[in-house]
Amino acid sequence: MATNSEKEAKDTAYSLFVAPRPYSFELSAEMLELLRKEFDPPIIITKLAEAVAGKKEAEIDAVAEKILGKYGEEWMKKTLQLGEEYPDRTYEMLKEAADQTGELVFPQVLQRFIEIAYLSTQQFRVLPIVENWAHRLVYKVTNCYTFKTLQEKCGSDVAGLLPCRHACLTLCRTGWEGLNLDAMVKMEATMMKDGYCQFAIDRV
Amino acid sequence: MCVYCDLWGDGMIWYLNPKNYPRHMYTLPKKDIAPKAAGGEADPAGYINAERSLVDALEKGPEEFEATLKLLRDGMDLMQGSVGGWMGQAVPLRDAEKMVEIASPKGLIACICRHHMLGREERTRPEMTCMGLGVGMLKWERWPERYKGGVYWVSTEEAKEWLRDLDKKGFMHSLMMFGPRFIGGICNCDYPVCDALAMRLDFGFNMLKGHHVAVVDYDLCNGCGICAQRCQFGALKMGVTQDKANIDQMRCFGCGLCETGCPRGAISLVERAKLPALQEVW
Repeated sequence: MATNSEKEAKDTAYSLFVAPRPYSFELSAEMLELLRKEFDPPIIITKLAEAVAGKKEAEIDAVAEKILGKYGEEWMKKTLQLGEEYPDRTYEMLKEAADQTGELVFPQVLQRFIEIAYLSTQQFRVLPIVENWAHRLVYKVTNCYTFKTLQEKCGSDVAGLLPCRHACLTLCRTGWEGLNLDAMVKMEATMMKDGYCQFAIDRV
Repeated sequence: MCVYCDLWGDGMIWYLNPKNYPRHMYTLPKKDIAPKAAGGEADPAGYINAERSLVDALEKGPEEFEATLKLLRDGMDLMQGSVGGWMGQAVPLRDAEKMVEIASPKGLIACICRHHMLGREERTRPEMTCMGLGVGMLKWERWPERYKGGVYWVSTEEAKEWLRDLDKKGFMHSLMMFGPRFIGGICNCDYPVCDALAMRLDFGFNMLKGHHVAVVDYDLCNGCGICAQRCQFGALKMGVTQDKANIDQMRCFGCGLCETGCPRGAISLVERAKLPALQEVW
């Protein structure tokens, strides 16, 4: 039978680690709404549709790179800002783990902000992660709301050029730059060919 | 070929394929949708309850036992996304070290089996014999009753050192799946304390054999018997008339404890796939 001091020691050790229940491990609904209001795909796609109206194929990509590239950059900058202003318990634990190990900024911290960016502007509930390890972060975007909006507002020919890739590619780049990381991104699958887009971020 | 390599190996040993580790960090809530069926994470006592129901069924007779076994296998497939009731696999130290290079984050946690079987509570870092892998571990505080003692986050190098230390102590390494195509932990097991191992050795399901098989170099073996003491599977015995180690390769799980424990380097691991009689023995 445990002595009083043993019992006390056990109780003390447990209370150090058992967290209070009210923690929220999920993303803040308020933060998601703020991002959605500012970066809802129809807003930027309407702007793009006006800018590319009557333009030739070769010009469309240049215009899209300028407009959607800027959109992707601002989208991630705001995500980085609000993601810090609205922490959740999952993120707090991630930061604690990163501090203790000296690892995890790549890929997990970057993964968190990318998940926030997409979950706030898309219509799916989960961003599928294909790989997340020390050298690679790969995710896929299926059933893309931006692409669908592009098809509706600009037509299938313009959507087929996948001008929206500039937003996602710039989003990734701004994300790792914001976290002081060096990486490169490439598309491993595209909506037109594969039915989904897949982005692979390789640490360099 | 191992069932998981066939499904998810993409041309390599499945647990060395980084695509079998990732998970999303967040899921947005959806109203009016019932919660998902409980998996291993949500029901950490699953093994223990399963083992108990098998023991109960054994007492009732062979038909009841077979029916319970089938129920458990199907249940594991349904809940854990496993195939044929397999949801773990023996892994030698060298591969476990490669696994911790791929998986992140990595957290040391208490072993639920040792608590169940021995009443032992692993509450400090040096005591802990289990490792949780992946972003799901970031939410461990949701199940304080499972993670008594908390989680100690470790770097890749610390994880390797921890594995080597447990290997020295004679624990065999095994991976655990939590959901389809998701490797969520590395256990360090010993029979009969480990529930997963006990379910395999006593009831024939749950843990697959590893991708290797041990072989002895009789010229190097001096008959010290350390390997036989470390083997969890009864696969290694000392010869009666010849004072050398003998391996029953049909029983060998390829965990490599004999190899890492041999002071003369007389035991090595060979690929199961290269031995025709063993390549389909899992």
